[in-house]
Amino acid sequence: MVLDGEPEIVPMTAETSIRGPDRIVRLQGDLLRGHIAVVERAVDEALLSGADVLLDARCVGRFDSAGAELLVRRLKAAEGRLLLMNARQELRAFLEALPPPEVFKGEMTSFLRPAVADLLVDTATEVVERITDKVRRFVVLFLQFVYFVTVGPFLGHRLRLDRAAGETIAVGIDALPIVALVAVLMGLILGFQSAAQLEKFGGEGLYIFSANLVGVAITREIGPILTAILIAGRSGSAITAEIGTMAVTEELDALRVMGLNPVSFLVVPKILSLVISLPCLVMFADLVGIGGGFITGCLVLGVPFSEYWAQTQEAIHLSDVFTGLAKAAVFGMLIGLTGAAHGMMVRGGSTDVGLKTTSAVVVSIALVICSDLIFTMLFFLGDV
Amino acid sequence: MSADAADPVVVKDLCVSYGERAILRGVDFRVKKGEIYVLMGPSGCGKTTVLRCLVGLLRPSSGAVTVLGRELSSLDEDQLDRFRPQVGMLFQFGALLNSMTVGDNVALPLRERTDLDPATVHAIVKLKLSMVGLEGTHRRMPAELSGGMRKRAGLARAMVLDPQVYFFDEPTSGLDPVTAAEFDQLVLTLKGALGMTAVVVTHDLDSAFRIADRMGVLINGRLVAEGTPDEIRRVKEGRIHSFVNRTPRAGQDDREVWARFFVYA
Repeated sequence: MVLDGEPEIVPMTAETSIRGPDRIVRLQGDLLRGHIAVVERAVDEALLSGADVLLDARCVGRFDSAGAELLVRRLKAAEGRLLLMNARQELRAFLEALPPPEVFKGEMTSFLRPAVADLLVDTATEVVERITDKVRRFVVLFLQFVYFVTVGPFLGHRLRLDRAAGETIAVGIDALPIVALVAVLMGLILGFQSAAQLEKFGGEGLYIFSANLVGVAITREIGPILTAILIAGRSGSAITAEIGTMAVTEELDALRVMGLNPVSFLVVPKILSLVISLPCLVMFADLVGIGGGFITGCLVLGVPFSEYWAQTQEAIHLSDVFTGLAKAAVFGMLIGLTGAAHGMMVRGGSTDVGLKTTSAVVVSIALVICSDLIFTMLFFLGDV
Repeated sequence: MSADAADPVVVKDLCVSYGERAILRGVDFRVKKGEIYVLMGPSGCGKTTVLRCLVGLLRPSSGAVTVLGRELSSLDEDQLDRFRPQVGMLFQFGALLNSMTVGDNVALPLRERTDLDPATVHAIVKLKLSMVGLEGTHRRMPAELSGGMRKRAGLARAMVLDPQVYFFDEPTSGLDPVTAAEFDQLVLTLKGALGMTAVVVTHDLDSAFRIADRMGVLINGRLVAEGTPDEIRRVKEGRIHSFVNRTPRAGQDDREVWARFFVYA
């Protein structure tokens, strides 16, 4: 109601006078957002005296929703001890358009202030329910994925390798630049870090062993983990956003009505593409990362190129590379499942797409790191 | 209403509730072959829920939905997938797959559910697109189409497998009056040409009275009236009358309550 360029705001004053057994609170000025406290205080004081109170609104100038809401709330709370007097036609018309005080009797307090304890209990049960629901959906989706890639093709559910190939290009090739950048930087960093530690043990003569440290660290851990995290942020989120948006626009329902199972049609190709492209990307990241180690080792630390090359060849075993690639395939599946499960959970509108996308990235990174620990322990115990 | 066993759509005592909230409380109706049945009612009355039950997207809490002689709740997902090509559904906003061209969208059911050769698929797609007045749009992406065009493309996709029953969810909502009237005309033309049986859910009264052979009024999850458009127009019962004649719901006059808080001195 108050727009720029309107006349200046008149501050509110409230004067209380006594007339017979009643108190009269005369309001003078604009009944606006910023002026409410004055009115509240005057009304409180007048009501405290025990007398009935008449609120004289004759000299109220402009008013806004906050002011009108204040009147409604106070009239209701006073249970008949507060009445409005001389309200101008404009103000009365505005008030009459609001639900009258009696209509929402007793609803206000519970609406405004749920007890903190209740709120905590509610939130806790909600969180537990949400997590069990997520786990359930994730497991169901995993079983469906296994079904559609193993038994499904023989029971009339086509395995859509053409779609998987298309997705693989989107996931894999487009991610090469960022994977290369991160891998080469990690190679450089690891080169410096290992050199610093080696120096403490035996001086510059040990620099050659940074080839071992960089090579093994990159192939076994840094390559798979970093690539998986990049792909979770890049492609996992894209899967959630795409499937979630399709849920909002009824595209998933449309697929179902055409007799196409969304899991088999949409989700399986996406997960397959991640399972294929992530190991490829990790192989690429391994090479580039070791290249980064070269740069530090040969150009900065001065190890001769041929020696570094021979040392690297000796240090890295095939098992180092293969354990990394096996992990990458599993990471790819986890990222795909998490992304798709979150996408299919989207209810409502665009806000939920954003929430579920964030959640998908966080959950898939956590899952990747947890499963990495399990793998590392198994490999360690199994001496691989 | 004759109880014909061959009626393509039979809904018996359909109830749906989410938790404690009852959406549908016992809905009964049948649709005869070649008939356009319009289900109308105010927003939130459960119209779309009925439609979702009719195509098996939602399983009813109780009651039976029989479409083309098959009781949907007795079918498992695989059987539903095989049944669904016999019905065509038009979604409120068309629900075209945004990642594909209009042509690929319309071709999708053919490519997935039949083994027709690509040339035949292409010919059928062109035919269906021209039936809904969208010649030459098959290379465009859904995002490049207007709302009305998207709905028509959605209709073409719903028609492509020549289903025996059609379901329309708010076919004219969000369209300007002229486009809406054109869409209704299209539905009537197709009805004449294909002998189409259809269930249409809408709150657009003009459109409802234009296309309906029979109509049902759904209010608060119950079917409160059913009949031909003329019969519905003549109903005098309060809620139906006020819905059909667009009068606001009668509420308590708040001014009387307010008057108790005003003092004139």
